Amino acid sequence: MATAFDLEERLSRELHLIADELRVPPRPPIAEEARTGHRWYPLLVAAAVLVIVAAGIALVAGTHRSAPPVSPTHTPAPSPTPSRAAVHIPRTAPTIPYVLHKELHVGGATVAGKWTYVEHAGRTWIAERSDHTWWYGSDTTPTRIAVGEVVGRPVLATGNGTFAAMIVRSGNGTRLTGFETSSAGEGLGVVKVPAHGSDGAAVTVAAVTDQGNVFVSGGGVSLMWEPMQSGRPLIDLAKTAPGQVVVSDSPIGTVLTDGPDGAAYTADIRDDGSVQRRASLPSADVVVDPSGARLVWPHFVSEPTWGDQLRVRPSAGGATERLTLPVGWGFNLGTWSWETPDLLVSRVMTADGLTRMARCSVAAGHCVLLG
Amino acid sequence: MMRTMTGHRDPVGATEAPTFDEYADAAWPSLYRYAYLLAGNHADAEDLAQQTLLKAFQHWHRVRAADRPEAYLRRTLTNTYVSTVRPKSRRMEILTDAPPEPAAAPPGIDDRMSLWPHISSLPPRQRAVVVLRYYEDLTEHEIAEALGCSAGTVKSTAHHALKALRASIGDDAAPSPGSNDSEGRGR
Repeated sequence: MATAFDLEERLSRELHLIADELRVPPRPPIAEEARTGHRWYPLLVAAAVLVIVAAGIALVAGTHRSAPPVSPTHTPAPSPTPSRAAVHIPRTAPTIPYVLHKELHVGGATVAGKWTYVEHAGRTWIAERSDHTWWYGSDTTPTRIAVGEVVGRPVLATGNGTFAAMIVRSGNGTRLTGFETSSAGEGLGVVKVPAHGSDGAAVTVAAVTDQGNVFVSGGGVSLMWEPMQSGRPLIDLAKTAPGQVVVSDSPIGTVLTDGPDGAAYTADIRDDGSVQRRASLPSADVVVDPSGARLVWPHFVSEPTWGDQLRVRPSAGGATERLTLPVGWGFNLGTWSWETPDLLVSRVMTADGLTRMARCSVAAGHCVLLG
Repeated sequence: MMRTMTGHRDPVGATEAPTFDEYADAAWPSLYRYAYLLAGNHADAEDLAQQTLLKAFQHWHRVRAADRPEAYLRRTLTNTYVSTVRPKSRRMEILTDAPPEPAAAPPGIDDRMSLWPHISSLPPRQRAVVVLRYYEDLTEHEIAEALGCSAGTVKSTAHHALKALRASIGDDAAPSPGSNDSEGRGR
């Protein structure tokens, strides 16, 4: 009987074997009509604009014709709240760390090297360089996280970034480890964890709390590590909270789902591993602003980027607002981050691969491109 | 694999940028292989790869300027695959008496394939996640970008795919739970 690890190895081996032994046919030429067809696009766009303008004129005319006479007793509706369109969204560079065009920007300056990913909490950032090494810092001086092969990615403590934790693979097996980012990388210790869950999915760090508690999950494995509590064994959440999956940590509690595809909620996880539910969430992919006032989550349509939206609502519940990008732009997954309780910054892209930064305002209900 | 297509991009200030045909010629083999692993047959693989290149051609000036042209192609091909229902096979079923081409391993390697037939029977999104993860070696975030979904969705889709594969080959083994060999630093 094969182990779960064997299953992943077999998958990789078989897919590569199939691909390697494929007889690839010659590339068919792009049809001539396709090569010339796009020259008509400007005309088509112009025609579409004419149709829209004509429709708009007809609509306005129709509205005027059908408008009811104003009653002498008619009371004007109260003025709306200040126009959302009138809300000014700053177009200055983001004030939080971000990666654009492989450059890592921190505090208005760039960090040397080529970078692919960054996350931050408090004043601490943690980033991956193009050579797949991981680094952290609080300004433009990066410090290497020299722990071997990181599985998944290191995770920062959500609120203050004081701790970071990661799973590391080496010849000795798979280990969970971490360090304090505020005191020259003092280690939190090391504990052995399974590499894979029962279905072969890799076990990765899901969340780190400001108190230093670390949650790992994957493929049915769900463990809590309390490195600041000397001598405490790993807590098996699969036993203390069966079926509950830790997704992330947030300023309003740990985010869990009721099963892999179940409803999301916030909760407190006690030292004994029991889960005390707090509130329901609209999505497991929420990002809560550091003050805990608002949460944002993505809503994607099936086609790439077109129509992507972020949705926002107060953490305590209430109306859901939509944050929309200019037409043709979509959010790069996982790159949005709160700048203030009102402003959100994200990397955005077109279906053709152009990338920019954008800033969204909840008060304005939309986003603007930066730079 | 598709990432090798980046090798055809010019270093800054080096040689002249490739034409579309030069780029397409270089990209075609890896694009076709990826398409075959998704579609499971030559007809649909060629259709998918060709549609992807056609879209790239229509936006070539932007694709060429993109940071990662291969990511654009991967995302386009993946979404085309997930959002269409095997159009060519369906046409074949209608227009001919012959059955559609089955998802099969290339001749000569069937005896080494125990999982491939089961991969072929996975739903499109699960299959895409499996191929992107175990053939393209993408991270969860990269897969999420390719599929236009969240990383959490990728994780749960992978979970269901692996579970289905394990069930289909009658493999219910599980690794032993974690055990401590060192505790955290005390305070």
